[in-house]
Amino acid sequence: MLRGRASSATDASFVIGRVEIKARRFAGGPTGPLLPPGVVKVVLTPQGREFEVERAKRVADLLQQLDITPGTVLVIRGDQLLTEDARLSTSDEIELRSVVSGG
Amino acid sequence: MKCTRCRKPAEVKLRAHNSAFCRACYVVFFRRRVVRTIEKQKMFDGDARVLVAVSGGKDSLALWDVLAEEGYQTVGFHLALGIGAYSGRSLEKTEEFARARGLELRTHTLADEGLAVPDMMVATNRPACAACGTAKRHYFDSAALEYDCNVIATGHNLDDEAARLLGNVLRWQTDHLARQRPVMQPTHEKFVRKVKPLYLTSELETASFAFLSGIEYVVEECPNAAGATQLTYKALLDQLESTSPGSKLSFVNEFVTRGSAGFLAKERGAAPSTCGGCGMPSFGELCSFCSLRAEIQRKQASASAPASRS
Ligand code: SF4
Ligand SMILES: [Zn+2]
Ligand SMILES: [Zn+2]
Repeated sequence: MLRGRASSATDASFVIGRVEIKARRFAGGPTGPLLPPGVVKVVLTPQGREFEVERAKRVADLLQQLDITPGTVLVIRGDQLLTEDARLSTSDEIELRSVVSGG
Repeated sequence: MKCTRCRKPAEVKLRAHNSAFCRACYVVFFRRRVVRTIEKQKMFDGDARVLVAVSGGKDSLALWDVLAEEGYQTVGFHLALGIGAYSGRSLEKTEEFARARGLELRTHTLADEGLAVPDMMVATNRPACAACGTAKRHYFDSAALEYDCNVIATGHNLDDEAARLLGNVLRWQTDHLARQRPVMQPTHEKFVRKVKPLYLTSELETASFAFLSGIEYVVEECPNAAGATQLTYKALLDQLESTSPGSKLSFVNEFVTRGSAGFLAKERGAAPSTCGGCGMPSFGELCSFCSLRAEIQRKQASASAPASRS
């Protein structure tokens, strides 16, 4: 499930991979408090939004929770691409980069 | 997940091809696929001098990378559109790419003639993309002539073509369907052939290739693209693709191999005259770009002239 810090989370609504997502924005930032166990940090590019997602064991769970159609984003961890079955671990920082161009 | 070819851990899974690839195998797979498309569709051969229209985005840089690595002679051409920070970063990425690989890059800056896309939009009071498209066509054609290239290659990918095809089919635009081909032959001796070597590779495939080959591209979108109808079509096609992998590929591929022949292009005949503004082929006194430029200059002049009273 998506979680936002109760005191500092703000509701956000935006479009990624052309799917409207309603989620709570991660407001801790790199200098924020330590994440509780089982939480994955996610940044969406090029939108630059940040989230924390919990109970996402695999990439497929993460995409499902964020309501992102598979194949519309690159799933990046460090200098590697992850496939949908890849396991996620606590404190992973994942970039979801839209592959869609328009115009 | 393991690489279908070598059993190493996979980084890319392509449901449309029922395959998964490790980094090394994917790069080989992608390059081969592009080269095979070029050969099969007789786009150009090893003797050609290819003008690659490079925007700085994933598709055109991936295309340029493949062509250069495979030994084709290329000239990169970048049209600087003058769309704020987006255009600045696009030029920067394109120049970095060319410099790092020692490739020939030519650029033209629209703002030098007072024709930055936002200015054209204001002056014409029409969507930015209309003027932008006219300018791109004009400068790609004249750059091919100027830099002695015999073919123009653009980075249009499978998703672009599928979205365009869907749009054309929804309105049965038979004249547009007749012109939606991966290879367009020139209609005048001053024009060259136009090809789309990535028309069978999806956005996921080009983005994965760019990432895995270490290509630094502009991830952000042109601000004018937001809300484009094409994005709605892409979203529909992505949903279809996720329940029925390979749909986009067969939609476009079957159209090109079996459907498109049914839509005969109404030839306008050879362009009879030469544009009085730029010397390129034209159907009227001025080509569409030069008449656009004349319209803009007229409006800009009247807007800046002091109001005269009589
Ligand atoms: S989206 Fe931007 S770059 Fe593309 S045609 Fe429109 S104005 Fe030009
Ligand atoms: Zn492999
Ligand atoms: Zn002209």
